[in-house]
Formats: sequence, structure tokens, C-alpha cells
Amino acid sequence: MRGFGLLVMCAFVACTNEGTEPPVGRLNFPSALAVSGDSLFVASSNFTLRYNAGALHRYDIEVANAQLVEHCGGLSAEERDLCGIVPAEDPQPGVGSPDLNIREVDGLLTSEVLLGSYATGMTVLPSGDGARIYMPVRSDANISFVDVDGNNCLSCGGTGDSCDLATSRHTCTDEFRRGNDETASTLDIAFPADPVGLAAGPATDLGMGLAGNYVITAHRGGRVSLFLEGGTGGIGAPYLVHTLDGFPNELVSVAVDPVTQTAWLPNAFQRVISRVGVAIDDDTSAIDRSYLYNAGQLNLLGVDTGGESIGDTRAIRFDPRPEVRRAYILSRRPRALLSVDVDDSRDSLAVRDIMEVGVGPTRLDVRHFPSADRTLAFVSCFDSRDVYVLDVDQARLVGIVRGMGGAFELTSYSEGTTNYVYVLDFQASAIRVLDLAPMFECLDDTSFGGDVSRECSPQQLGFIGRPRTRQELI
Amino acid sequence: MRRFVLLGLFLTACTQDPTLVNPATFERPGAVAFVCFDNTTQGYVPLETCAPPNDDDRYAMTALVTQTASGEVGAIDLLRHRTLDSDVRVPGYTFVRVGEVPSALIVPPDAPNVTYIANYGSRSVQWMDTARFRPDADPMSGVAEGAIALPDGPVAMVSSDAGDALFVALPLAGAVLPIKVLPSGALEQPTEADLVALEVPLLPQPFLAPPTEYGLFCGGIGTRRVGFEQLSFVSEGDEAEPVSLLVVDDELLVADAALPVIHRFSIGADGSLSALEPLPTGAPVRRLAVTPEVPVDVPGMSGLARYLYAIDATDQSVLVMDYTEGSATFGGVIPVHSGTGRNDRLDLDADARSLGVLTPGFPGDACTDYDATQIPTQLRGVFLVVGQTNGRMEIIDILDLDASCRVSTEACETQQTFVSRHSSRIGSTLSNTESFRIAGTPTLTLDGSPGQIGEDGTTSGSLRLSAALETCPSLMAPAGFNICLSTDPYAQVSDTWTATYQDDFLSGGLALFGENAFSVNASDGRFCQRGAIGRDDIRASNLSDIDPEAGYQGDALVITSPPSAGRLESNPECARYVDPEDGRDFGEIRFQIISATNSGLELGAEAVRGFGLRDGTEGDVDYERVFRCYERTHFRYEVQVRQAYLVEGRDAGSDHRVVDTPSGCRINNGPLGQPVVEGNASTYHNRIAQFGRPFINDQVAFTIEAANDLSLTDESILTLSVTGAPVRLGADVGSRGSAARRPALVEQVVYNPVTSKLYALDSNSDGFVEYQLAPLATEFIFE
Repeated sequence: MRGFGLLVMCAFVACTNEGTEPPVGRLNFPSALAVSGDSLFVASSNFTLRYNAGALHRYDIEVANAQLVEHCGGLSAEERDLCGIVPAEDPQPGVGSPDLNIREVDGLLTSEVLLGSYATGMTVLPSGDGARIYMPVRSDANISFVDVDGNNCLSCGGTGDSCDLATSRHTCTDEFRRGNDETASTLDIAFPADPVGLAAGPATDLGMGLAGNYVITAHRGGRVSLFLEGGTGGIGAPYLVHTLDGFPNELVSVAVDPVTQTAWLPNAFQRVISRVGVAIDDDTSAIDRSYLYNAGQLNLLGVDTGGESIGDTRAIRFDPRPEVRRAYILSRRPRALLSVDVDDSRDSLAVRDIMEVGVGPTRLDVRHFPSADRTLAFVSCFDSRDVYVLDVDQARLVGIVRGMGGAFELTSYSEGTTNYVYVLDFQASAIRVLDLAPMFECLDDTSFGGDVSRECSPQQLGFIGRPRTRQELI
Repeated sequence: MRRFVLLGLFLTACTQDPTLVNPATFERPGAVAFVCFDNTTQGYVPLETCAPPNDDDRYAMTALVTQTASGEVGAIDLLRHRTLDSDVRVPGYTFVRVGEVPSALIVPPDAPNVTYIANYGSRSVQWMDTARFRPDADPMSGVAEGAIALPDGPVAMVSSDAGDALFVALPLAGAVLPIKVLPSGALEQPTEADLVALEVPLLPQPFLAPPTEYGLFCGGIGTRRVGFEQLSFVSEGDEAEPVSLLVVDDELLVADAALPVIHRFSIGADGSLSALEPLPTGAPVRRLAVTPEVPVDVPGMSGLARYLYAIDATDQSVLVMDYTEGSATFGGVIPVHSGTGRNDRLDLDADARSLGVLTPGFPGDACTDYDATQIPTQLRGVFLVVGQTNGRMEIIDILDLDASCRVSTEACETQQTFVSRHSSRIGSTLSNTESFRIAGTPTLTLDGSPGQIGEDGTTSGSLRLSAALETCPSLMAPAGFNICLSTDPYAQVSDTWTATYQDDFLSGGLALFGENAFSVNASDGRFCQRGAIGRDDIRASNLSDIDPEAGYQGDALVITSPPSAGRLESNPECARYVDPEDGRDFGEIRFQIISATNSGLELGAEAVRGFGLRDGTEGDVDYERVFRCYERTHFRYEVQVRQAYLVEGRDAGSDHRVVDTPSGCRINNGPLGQPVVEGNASTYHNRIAQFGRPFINDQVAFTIEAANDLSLTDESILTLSVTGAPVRLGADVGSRGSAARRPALVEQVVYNPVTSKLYALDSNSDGFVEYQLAPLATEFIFE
């Protein structure tokens, strides 16, 4: 994780590069992704500052899936590890291993915008007639937001057409960055540095009558900020309403309890989970009167973190099933996924189960698969370069997917019979696509005398982009 | 609540730097099996062959360790303390590749040429030539390798004593599968007809077995046990979920993580299973351990008893059952500790994750003559070891064959020795002059006064500790300052106790005023479980004068967030609850709780009071005014004790006996609940200290008196520190001597009866740690 040290350093010194724009369609240390409808959004961090901006891509997920199945689906597992697709706009011939089996695909990448470096999270929500993407961007010390129109074209204030990849570039403008600028807030609130995590949802979830969304950001220095979108006659830009301090240093992410709407904040410093509530004002014409409050911390007791004052938790997800009141906390000390009873957690976390994971657990996704009647957690382990798949009801490891350069952000996808996990391979600058079908097929096979050499882990279907060595990226 | 004591209270096994062996990288070690290797013939021999003496180091005890993450099995030569490279042709250390996510492995002790590995991920059981694991082993064992496929991932596997059958647990199938071992060592492919479904048409209710009285103390400290306990009955579903197995003689025990039973089967001569009556645990369980038959008492060594330990799957506590063949209470749950916490669970410092039974020197003769060199860290007899989520192993006394040698009339004049069955092993003797005592001078402050308490209990102010307790409760002794301290080494811990006037014990929640006047709803409040109680709940609980809650007028609800800005604008009166300077701070609004349920509170109209309001007022505010400022909006709240002190130990926490009933929150003082026995401190589950009434819990007792009534705004705290408590014997698995300790997840604790060594598998730091038991000390760490 040395790279993250560099990232942090750069964030503080506001590294900039006036030089080269990133090539169209080039994945460059991707660090954030989200799936929404038929769109796969991926943000490149421009981690080494080789270019003068990061980028946000929109891929057509149906095209991607179909092309991967057609091109790689019939190959052996070993061959699929070398099989992938790239946007026709950025084929990069000759780059990467000569053994790679890569197909250039038209219509895979449909839109792109350029934004600040070091996007560290992403949430997509419906907004007006389209959608809006929110990202904390550490180099700019703000959040950036990008609108998605009905044609799935990205828009963030630039002049170019983001869907016209051949002739124009679309660069995000200041109007689509919210932080330390006078348009963000009139409350004389200073937006703290280093936003590292973001959670967002419809303002109606908070009981507000607003048509817009709320955004809560976690800042590495132990602060939390609240944005609300108001305005009349349409959705306005996020408006900085409040910043609250007093939380542990090294906050890393934020997740919102869907029942109480309380935000839970893990940190890489102390053995506590902080909680933040949103006090709303029932006058929707005055959104700036809402505020955050400290809803109390939950101590992580009885689990060995290596020391009484030491803790390191990285991500939290709430069980997606409404009837199950569990949270899953990704811990590095110990390296495990902790299953926590939410309602029994008052002063301390009510840990139900401890599920071991690999080295350097980094990101987490949890999804219920109704057709398989299983709820699975997917954990990317950056240092051991693998993805762990855990059955959270049985509290057991189901399988491990290896062979990643540096597994980072991930998200699961379920549509009909297609069940995939998209994993950003940060080090190789590619998107690994894991197919869960072989895993479910194996798990559902209750016959005796089957194949004894079978493995129930998900298998890589292929990749998007052109995996490269780090040396090729710098 | 005594679960989270300071780590320093342990007498850890690591008194000096252990040898660290790290030539190979383990990847989540999960299970271990032992095999004896003959260095002369370069073949495997029956396990007993490795028993000492091992002349000329001919035999090497070898550990085979599953690597759960990499799907491999690694080997360690425990004689030379070397990790073994299974294939020297490959650069670096190589382990043997097996199936995906190996969950168990077995090497038959008397037929060690074949190793069986259960693979959860591959849903298979495979057998391999054990020679594969040692590069120097003779590969001519003639074992053909193979595997059978299963309909579900096996999570546990055991062998029959005869070695002619394996049994695997299949959790999703809710079944156990017997697998026949052929004479060649190969396995016969089972069929669906072989599945043994775990069905329990009518779940049996748990019942109590009598408490154990085994114990040795200087002069005796009386009966510690409390015979009443309301046993829980919890089920996690309707279908069985077998998660671990244990073979005891000709019986197979199956732990069920869903149903509150332990399934039992008789193992037939052909390896077939016949169902027996299940054991009613009252809760789903995860891991099992059974002791050998041990004498009921020592030194008499008369009678025999056998105990079954199981980890409760719902809360990771450990219960103990009578497993004595022919016992009238066979299968009964034994109450095993007194004081704070559940009596039907071991008193542990953290959640349990793994269990093992240690039998060093057992069977053997009990020591008869006093021997000053016998120290409590020396383990000879039968003990339970519990691997805990806090990275430690704790030793539990069952039978100490050397106990008699540490207690004599002469020795007891200067020191105390404690041994008590099913209790944590005390790792040190306790000097009679340096036993439990109050450290320094306790204080009882009032609004910032120093509050130092004199030997007679008085302070310079209007508060004092009175001598209302003329004699200390049983198992307690006067400690000066009109304070009684527990003398029970199993109850007392070195701790700092505070009693804080009108302190909160529940905070951070959100609530709404109900549509009915004076009601508050908080669906996630869990008020009863958290100990909230109203005035009328106390009255309805039929308390006697000896009950500590008698006379209490109910807790208080305090609103701790301001009205919304919109409400402030529309109703200027609401501004009195808001700090005008920043618009965000607030004054507190306090209500007496009249009655409580798990999700709601009824508030007292007549006792509504506010104080410290920002407009400078202090005094009555009425419910309606508050209601108008908060109706239909969530507000934050705290629940505080009212006109009394909240007593908490820094490490021990606090206890209460409020339970949820159909009528609301009630004191659990019925005969099947937690009734108070006057004078027996271990029966007091209490955290409220009222003026003029003795406060008693299982560790401290005192009475606070005030010359004048305290006002709502008065702040008062009693602080006292207790020191001199004995330390519990255990081992810190994450310890690396003088190097920084690592977080540990004690996945398995395994005892090797041939060498009398204990091993811990730490899946977090990928460690495999070897301990000697006489005395308990770390020998080697492989990682």
C-alpha cells in the first residue's frame, strides 16, 4: 500500500499537472466504480499524476457483458485470465503481456468526462429525469458530481459532448465541484480537506420533502460534512449545510443505516465506529437549518485488534434484506469481516460472527441473490491480491478469486441469470469481471459423486481494459 | 459484564521471548492433525510411538496444518521445530495442494499412512499418502490417492474410534454423512441413502443439573454457587445446521448452530449411526469438548463425573452440561458461576471461539504432601482451554491433581490458594496481607469538592458513606471507609468503581412523542433489555424491602436535541431549549419515567421538570409545552437513573435485573429469575445506589448518605479503586515476546496427549503456536 502514502502526500500538497490529458478511454489506476441500470461507471484516479486529470467513464454494461461472454466465455479458466475487451477508442496495441487475448469493441465506452485526480468513492442516484454521480475527489478537496442524461451522456459543466468520443473532450468545471467555494455554502462553513468516503441517498429518506439528494462525506482528519440539494424548478447543486468534527482521525468511509438513517463511520485509528445523525428541518425552503449530530460511537470490544487503543476498520455495509438487521464491518485488525447485530449494538458493537479474510482487506460489497437464496459478501484484499467471497448467513468462506494485481473497489451485479462482480484492479489498471454462475452451479449441486476437482469460487470471465505492469503505467 | 477485563489481569504464558520460526508463509491455518515419523525407517508409526522418552530423537512428532486460504496442507517437524518443504525441487517452501478451503483433516493414530482431508470449497473428502507431506518420508506406503464428492461443503470431519468410518457435517443439507473407510484406506463413495438427517420433532427444554462443589481453598470460602437460574431457550431456525462433530467412545455428538440441541448418535460396529435422545442445550451451539471421567472431589477422589462444554452460537458464551453416564441429571445444564453475568455460563473475559480439553498427567495420582515448589501455572490433571476472540486462551479448572500439595495449614497462614471446578484457573497464590484492598483514598465529590473519604466514611461535605451495613454480606470483608469488598477470587477483579449521581446508561437513540399524551416511542430502544424501569414498574414488581430496587421512583428520560429550526421559527417559546449563540446547543429536558416497555415509555406529567434552560430559568416546565416543540419530529434522548447513583466498574461494567415481560419492564425477582438472597452478595444484580440504602453487587458494597437533598443540577461522584485481585492463568496467542504483539484470532486450540503439548492456530497472523504445560509457557511460534 505504499502507493496510498504517495496519494496522501499528493493530496496535501495539491499535486497538479498542467500537461497531458489522459487518452480517451484509458483506465489509469481506477479507484471508484458503480453500476446503475445498464451503465458501469468507473473513475480513474490518475494516481501517479502522469496526466493532468482523472477521468470518469461510462461503459455500456450490456455490451461489455455480451462481448466478454462471446469472446472469453468459451475459454478455459487459464485462458480467461488473459482474455478481455477494450474500447475501440483506446486499443493500446503492444501494451501489456503479448499473451493477452483482447478484442477491441465499439460501443463499449459511451461517454467520458475529465475530472480531478484521486476520486475515492462513487454513488449514483436518480436525479430529475436522469441520474447524478457523486464522488469525493481528494486532489480538489471537494466532492464532484456529474449528471447523466437520458442518453447516458455524462455532463459536468464542460463544453464538449461527452458522448462524442472521437472529436471532443468534456472537462468538469468548478460548478460541479462542491467544497471550499462560495457557491457551495453561504453559511461560512469551511469544507475540510481530504474527503475519503461518501454516502448519499434521496432526501426523502431523511423525512425531508425535497426532490433532491443528501450527501454525507467523511474526511480523513475526523470530520463529517452534509450536503443537501434544494432549489425550486429542478434539482440544484449539492449545498454544504454543515460540517461536524470530533471524530477519530483516519476516517475511511461512510455507510448509512437504511432504517435509522444514521451514518456509520469506520476508521483506521481507533477501535470504535462513529455514528452521525442528520437532524432535519421540516421547512424545506430552508435546508441550511438541518445539521449533523454525533449519534454516539460504538466500541469494538472483545475482539483482538492488537492493542486496547488500536483499531483499523475500513468499510461497512448493511444487510440488504429489510428483515435482517445486521451490519458487516471490514476490519484489518484483525483482518476479518465482522457481522454485527445492529439493534443490539448500543455502547459497543454486538459482534455475532468473525469471518477471516485475506491480507489488506480494502473494500466490501454485500448482495442478496434471491435465485440462490444466499447473501454474499465480496471483500477485496489489496495486499494478498485476491477477492474473498463469504456467505454471511453461514459466516463461512465460500471461495477466493486470486490473480489480481491489486484488488480494490468492487461492486456486484445481478440481472436475470447474470451474476457478476466487477473488481477494479488498481495496479493493473483494468476491470476484472468475475462470473458467479460457476460458483452457484457448484453450490447448488447436491448430487453425490460429482466432479471431485471442482471449485466453488467465482471465476474470472475476463477483463475490461488492458492490464499492464506498474512500470508501464508510470 | 466482567467480560472485558484489562489484558493485564491475565497471567500470560509468555514470560520471555519465545522462539519464532518463520521460514514459510502460512495462509489462514485452520485445522491440525498429528502424526509420528520414524527418522530411522523414514516411515510413519503409530502416534503413541512419539511418547517420551524419545531416545536419540528417533521419532519426530509432525503437525499437518491446513492452509485454508491457499488450499494446501503444510507440515511442521515438532522435534526440530522446522516447517517442512514438501517438494525440495521447487524453489522456496512448498506445501501440498489439496482441495479448495480445507476444513478438517484426520490421520488415523494407528494407521498413519493415509491422511483424509475434508474440503469445504470443493465439497469433497480426499485421501492422500501421508508421505506426501514430508520430503524425507518413504513414499512406498502403497496408498492410492482419491476423493469422493459430496452434496454439500463439509465443515467438520471426525473418525470413529475404530477408524473404519468417517463422519462429516453438512450444514446446508442439515445432515451428517457417514463414509466407510475401506481396508486399503480408500473411502467408499456414499449415496443419498447414507445421509443421516438431523431431525428433532419436538425440541426438548433444557433443565438444570446440580452445581459442582469441587474446590480447594484455605479454610474454605463457603459455597459460591447459586442454584437457581432461568435457562434460556433460543432457536435460530427450524432446520438443523450441523457445524462440528465429536466422537466420545462409541457416541457421535453433533453441534447444531440452529437448533438448541446437541444431537447424539450411537456408532455401530459397521460405522452406522443410531439416533439417541438429543441433549437440550437451550441454545444453538458451535463447538464441543468433553472431559474424561474425573473424580467428583479431590482429595477424596471418589465418584466419577464427566462434563460436556459447548460454545453458545448466539452469544459465544460457554455452557457446561452433565455428561456422566447413568447420572440422573445427564444432559442437564450446570450453573457454574456466581455474581454478575449468567450463572449457567463460564465466566470468561471475551467471547469463546474454540475449545479443547487438556489432560497432562491424567490419569495419575493426586499429590498428597505439601510441596512449596508446586505453582499454579503447573498444569497436571484435566483442564479446559478456551480460545477467545480477544486473542487469548484461558484455562478452566476441572481437576488439578497437584492442588492438594499447594494447600496446607502452614501455607494458608501466609497465602491463599484457589481451585474451583469450571472456574478460571487462578495463576498465582494470594498473600494474606496483600489481598483485595482499596487502593489509595476513595472520594465522594459534590459539585467539584475534593470529597476524600475518611476511614469512618465521612467527607468534608454533606455526603458520606454510612455504616448501614453492620456486617458485610457473605464472601465480602470490610475494607475500611465503610466499604465492603468481595473476597471471592472469582468475582473480584482489580477495577475502578464509580457511582455517578443521575448518570445516563442509555444514549444515542432517536425517539418520537406518541399520539397519546405523555408517551414516547423508540422502536429500537430495547428499554427493558437495557435496564430502564419506571416508577410503576417498580411497584408492579412485588419487591420486598431487601430488594435493592425497592423504593426507587423510576428512571428519567432526558431530551438532548433541540427542536427543529422550523419549529423554533413557528413557536418562539421553543427557543428556551436552544442556545441562542450558535443555534445548535441545547438545554436538557427531563421527565420521570412512569412505566417502560421495550419500545416505549410513559412519562410523568406531574414530575416534568427542566433545568439549565438557556433563558436562565430552572424549574417546572409542563409536558404540553415540550410536546408542542417536539411533536412529529425525532429527538435524541438519554435514559438516566433518577435521584440516585449509577454504579459501574471501569472494566466490569454494571448489571441489572430488568426483563421484558408482556406487562412491560419488570424486576426479574421471581423464584425462577434472579431473586436476592439477603446477605449473599453474589445474588445482587444491581447498579442503582439510592440514598440511605445499602448498595450491594458481587464485588463492592457501601451506603451513600446525604445530609441534605441534592438538587437536579448537583454533580456527585463516588470513586474507589480495588487492587490485589488474583490473576487468571492464560496465554496471549498474539504475543511475540518483546516484539509488538499481533492481533490474533484463535481458530483452534488443540491438545496433543502424546507429548502433553498445547497448540493454538491463529488465523489472523497465520501463526501456529506451541505451548508446554508444566508450567504453561510458549515454546515455539510458526508463522
